[in-house]
Amino acid sequence: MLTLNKLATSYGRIQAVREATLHVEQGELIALIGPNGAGKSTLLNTLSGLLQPTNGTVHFFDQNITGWRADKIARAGLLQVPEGRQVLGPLTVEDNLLLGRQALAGRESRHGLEDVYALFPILRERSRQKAGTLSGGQQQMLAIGRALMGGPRLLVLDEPSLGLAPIIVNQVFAVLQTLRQSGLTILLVEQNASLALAASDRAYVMEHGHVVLDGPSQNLRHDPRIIEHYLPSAEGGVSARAAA
Amino acid sequence: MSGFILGHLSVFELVLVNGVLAYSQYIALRAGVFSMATAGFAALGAYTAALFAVRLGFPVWAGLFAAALIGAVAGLVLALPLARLRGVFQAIATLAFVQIVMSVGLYWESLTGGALGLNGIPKLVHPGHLLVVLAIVLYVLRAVSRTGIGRAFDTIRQDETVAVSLGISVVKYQSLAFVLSGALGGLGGGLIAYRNYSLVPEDFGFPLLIAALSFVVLGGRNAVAGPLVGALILTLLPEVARPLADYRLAVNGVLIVLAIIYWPYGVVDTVILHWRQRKAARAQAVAEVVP
Repeated sequence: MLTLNKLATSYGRIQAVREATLHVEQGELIALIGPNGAGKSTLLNTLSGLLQPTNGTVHFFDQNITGWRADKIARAGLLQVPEGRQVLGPLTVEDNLLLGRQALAGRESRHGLEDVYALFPILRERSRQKAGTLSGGQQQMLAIGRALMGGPRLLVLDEPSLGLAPIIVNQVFAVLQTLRQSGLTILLVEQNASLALAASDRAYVMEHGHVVLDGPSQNLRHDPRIIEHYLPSAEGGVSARAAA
Repeated sequence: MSGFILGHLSVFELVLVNGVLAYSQYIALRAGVFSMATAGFAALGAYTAALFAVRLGFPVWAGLFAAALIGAVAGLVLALPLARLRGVFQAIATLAFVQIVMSVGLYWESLTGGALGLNGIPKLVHPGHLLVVLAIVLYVLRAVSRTGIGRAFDTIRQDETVAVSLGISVVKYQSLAFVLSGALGGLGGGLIAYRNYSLVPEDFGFPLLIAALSFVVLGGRNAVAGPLVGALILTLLPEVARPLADYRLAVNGVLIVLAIIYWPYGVVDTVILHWRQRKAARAQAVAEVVP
């Protein structure tokens, strides 16, 4: 459903993404991992139209969406939950959620207000509150809920665990699993590799603007190169215990 | 009370006319467009309305409709190049638009009367008309606020990146804001024409542009009542403080600076904010006592 072919993006003379090829199939949860500065966020911003590629193509379903404006891509159902959450602080929680409908443009969403409140009960309690008064975790839930209101055909998340307490991270990832089981296709960018590999079907590893490795997450978790660089012993221990 | 209003009918009319201009400025700012074009829209509307009445003998409502229409068209035409600009560059471009309109007013003498302006325009609007016009304007603005359009405007103003990631077309909504701003500005200009007996290009220069901006900054940019309250304060002030009337521009300037420093959300929004906080505090106090 989503295919990136030899995608490249530059900031002026600096090539942030040199050559990235990846594909996402319907119903998959795909993780994109890699160290800081590997080009993961640049890649996401390119496929969602916030940045324009210097080379390569992006196909979404049967359309070539390379070079489309970001709002048009969003209305096509490729919805991104931006890094740092970016809810609209002065608006209420409910108004933030209703804003998500702007992306529908005639399409239908499987998630209305009630469905989002069922996934994140805390948002129902806070529905009349200003979004700016929510905690970081609640804002992340709100950002995900807002994207769901827009009826995503592909949900893209940029660092959903960033700056959140571990217990909140677990809640957020539990919801992502629920969504995946309901058939939603998800592309997840994470620095927390153990978490991302535990949650995903397949994963891509990015370094210095290249996709250097990919495969089923199960296999990558036992790949010595991954363990050495991305799963430091303490963290690996945690994820092993979590998996057991 | 009615005696007071009758005695100050002319000022009362001016408040309402300025209110309409304030809403032209408000709708642009609400969508995150740093527009200063209101004075230009008002000039186009004023000359259109005046010419329709003087040369063609149109009735008042037809003249006002034509004024709003030409403002809307100007807004649409202006929106196309401005869609590529942001922030202060939009402001400069709209400033240029105001200058161009003023120059046309000065040099197209056969149509506009040049620097001498248009004179002998019948006084066609009365307070009743103004109230009806303002009611329509408020109704439209409420409708905009209640539908997704207002929410889209707010989102673009607060964060353009979030807006596009939600599928909101910045170009489309900012163009819509320009059209609405143009229509309201043109309408306000038409009201000026039918109230002032005469028009000269200087009426629509820098002072009017600053006035429209001041109404919104002082009154408030969020609540729909804000711009009208701003227009009320800044229009009444020179009347109430007669000795200061000669310094009205200086007084306005000082007020704007004070408002920006101490009440950055404007009078109405600040009052609403305080009121909400007090209500929330009281609700919390009750909640703490009850269990």
